[in-house]
Amino acid sequence: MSASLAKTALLDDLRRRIERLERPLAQRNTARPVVPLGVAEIDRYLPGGGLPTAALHEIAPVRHEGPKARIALNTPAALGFAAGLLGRAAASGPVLWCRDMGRAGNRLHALGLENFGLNSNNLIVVNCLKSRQLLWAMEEGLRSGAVTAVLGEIADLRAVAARRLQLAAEAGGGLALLVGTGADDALPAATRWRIATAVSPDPQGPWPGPARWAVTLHRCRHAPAGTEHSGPRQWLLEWRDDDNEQLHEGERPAHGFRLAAALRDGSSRPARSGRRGAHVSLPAAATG
Amino acid sequence: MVTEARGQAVLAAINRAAEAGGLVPGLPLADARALVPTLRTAAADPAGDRRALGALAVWCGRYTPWTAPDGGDGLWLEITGAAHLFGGEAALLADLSAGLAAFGYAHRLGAADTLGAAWAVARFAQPLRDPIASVPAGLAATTQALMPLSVAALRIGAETAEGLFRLGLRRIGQLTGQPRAPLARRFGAGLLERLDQALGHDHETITPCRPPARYQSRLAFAEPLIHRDGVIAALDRLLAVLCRQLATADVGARRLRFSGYRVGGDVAEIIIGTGRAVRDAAHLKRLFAEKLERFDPGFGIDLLVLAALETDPLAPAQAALSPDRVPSDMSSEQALAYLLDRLVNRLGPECVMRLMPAPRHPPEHAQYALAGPTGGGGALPGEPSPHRPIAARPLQLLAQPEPIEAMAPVPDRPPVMFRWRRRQHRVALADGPERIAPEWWLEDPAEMFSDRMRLRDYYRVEDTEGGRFWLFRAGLYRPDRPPRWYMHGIFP
Repeated sequence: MSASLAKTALLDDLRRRIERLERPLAQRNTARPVVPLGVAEIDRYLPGGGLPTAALHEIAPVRHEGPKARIALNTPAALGFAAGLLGRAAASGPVLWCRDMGRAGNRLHALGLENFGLNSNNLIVVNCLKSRQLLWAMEEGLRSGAVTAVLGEIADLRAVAARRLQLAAEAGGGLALLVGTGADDALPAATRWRIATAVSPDPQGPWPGPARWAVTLHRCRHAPAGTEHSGPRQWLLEWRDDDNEQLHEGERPAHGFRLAAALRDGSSRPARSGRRGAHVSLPAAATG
Repeated sequence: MVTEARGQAVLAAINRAAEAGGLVPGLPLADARALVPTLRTAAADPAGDRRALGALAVWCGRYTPWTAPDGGDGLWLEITGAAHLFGGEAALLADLSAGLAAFGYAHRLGAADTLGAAWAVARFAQPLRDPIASVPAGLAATTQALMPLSVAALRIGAETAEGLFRLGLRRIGQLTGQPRAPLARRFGAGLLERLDQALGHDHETITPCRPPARYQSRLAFAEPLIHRDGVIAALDRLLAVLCRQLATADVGARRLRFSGYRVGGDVAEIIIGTGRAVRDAAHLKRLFAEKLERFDPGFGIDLLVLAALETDPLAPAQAALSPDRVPSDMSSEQALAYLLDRLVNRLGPECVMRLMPAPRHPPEHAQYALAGPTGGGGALPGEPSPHRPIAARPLQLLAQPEPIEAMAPVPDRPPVMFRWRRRQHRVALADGPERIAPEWWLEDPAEMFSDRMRLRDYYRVEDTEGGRFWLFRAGLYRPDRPPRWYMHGIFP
């Protein structure tokens, strides 16, 4: 009899411990700061109104089944979106950008980074020669708590490494942005984004507009109540830096995400054959 | 050991057995073989010998940091003030002799008050078979020890020694009695200088091969350390002592060297650097920990030395006045500096950088990579950089501009279609041209019109699928030559 009592006591104790461990992250999240995107339409679907810190976020380019080179176009788009997120996080502290020089043949350009609000005062770039060094650098940056966000260009991330990064993020309280093609569903990421290129709408003029992406929030853990059932959401997002406008004395350029018109069938796409005239879509003329 | 001299092989160095057989260095090899038919020879390697001597000088750093090689076959050690660590000068010399004998070196040690006397006594004092010849302290004792030695023990050249022999001056004792002016006239001032140095009337010092560090802590072990755990524990203790020394002097370390003197005679070292002066033992230990994996104790370490090679002034930290207010762990600036130290020590200083725009025309050169904990000199946050060009710049630049095939129907207009990395792109929107001229002030004017120096007309194009690219045409449009197009960057 006493043996079974002891056993039930032990089981109760274990259950309580498991419950404590499994306490929903959302309860913890509301206490933690978030990094909002600055676009109310999107922030509505994120827990706490923004990207939760002390968590991993995955940003991956959209893969198409068709021509393989589509990923070659979507990868820079994903990197651009991640740079925008990093720029938002950089407002509250230094950020780290970790690259794997073996894979990324391209260099980051300082003037291009400035468009996103990342300059020599708040961005530190770490060029690693091996992917193991890249993971180590990300972990060190996250664990130290000295940087508010770490962006890593990782091609494929294994579950053990992902778990380590998540623990490091929770210890340090920073944001971890993983940009890569290895879309592993078992990744313990708080939010997952899929990015594709988006064409500029014609009303901008005959030249390309600001950076623009078709952003899909593929999955979001602990999304606010009322939004879970909608499935993946899609937006057209652009990044404005407003440097075309005249800056008055002492005014800062307004960096930020802006929501472009939602995707409708073809009305925001220019004509295919390369005509550069203005394209206006008229509603169907009323009869009468 | 055999070496080449004047076109024939001569003996460079011989061992005791060969000496017993009547050989001398400088004897031609043929004669040597005639004298001792069973002679074994090997080619002399003066560079290797010098390296070995240098390594031995470093090994002797366990006794004193002031060590230097002397010529090709000797070492200087300045043991003033170091003898007490080993239980007295005699014990130090005995230890050194035992150590050298364990390495297999035939050696002779000479210890005296002056460098000149030590040199003389080591090479010339009788009996030559004794490994240690020590001269008691004091000027009188030095002079007395030097009297019976040959004049050649004064480190003078062969001709000077010959000249003195011919005059009948064979011993140093005979030389001291002579009037100085005729000697100087006959043999130059060098002879008198050497004499004064040996007798202690003139001051002489050695330049150590490794400058000694001002702040260091050392730990010697009776039993050699074999396990890495022991090394780590010793490092803890050494760091505590060193950081106390630094704190007393109000400095922080910028470069530290951790050396382990191994039983085999070589020295294993780790060097770490920090971006700012640091006195924090925990942070320094973490920086060492990353490199300790490769620190091999070998057959055992019997001495560990931690030295601060470079230091910077560091103000003492302000302690909280009232015990209630708990000071925050670390300011965020300090945390960032520590993080950068760890990244730089593992990846190398060229891998961690900040990018700043530079006022250069070619986009691939238009940025500086700054290393270091602070940006410094860049734009204030939120303000555009002063060198910002009007047109937009891409986020990524290709490592090298890649040639593409492009079709532009009208000169000075962007292409309507291009082919890059085996994929066709049709251009929907385009912006440009933006002309970026070569920097004539940096290049040779004769090369202004060569292919390498062409100006570039950049276009920002967007293709029908939304990809945005930055490409350029090299050179002005010429009707007789097809224009050359390149891809340079990708917009986000």
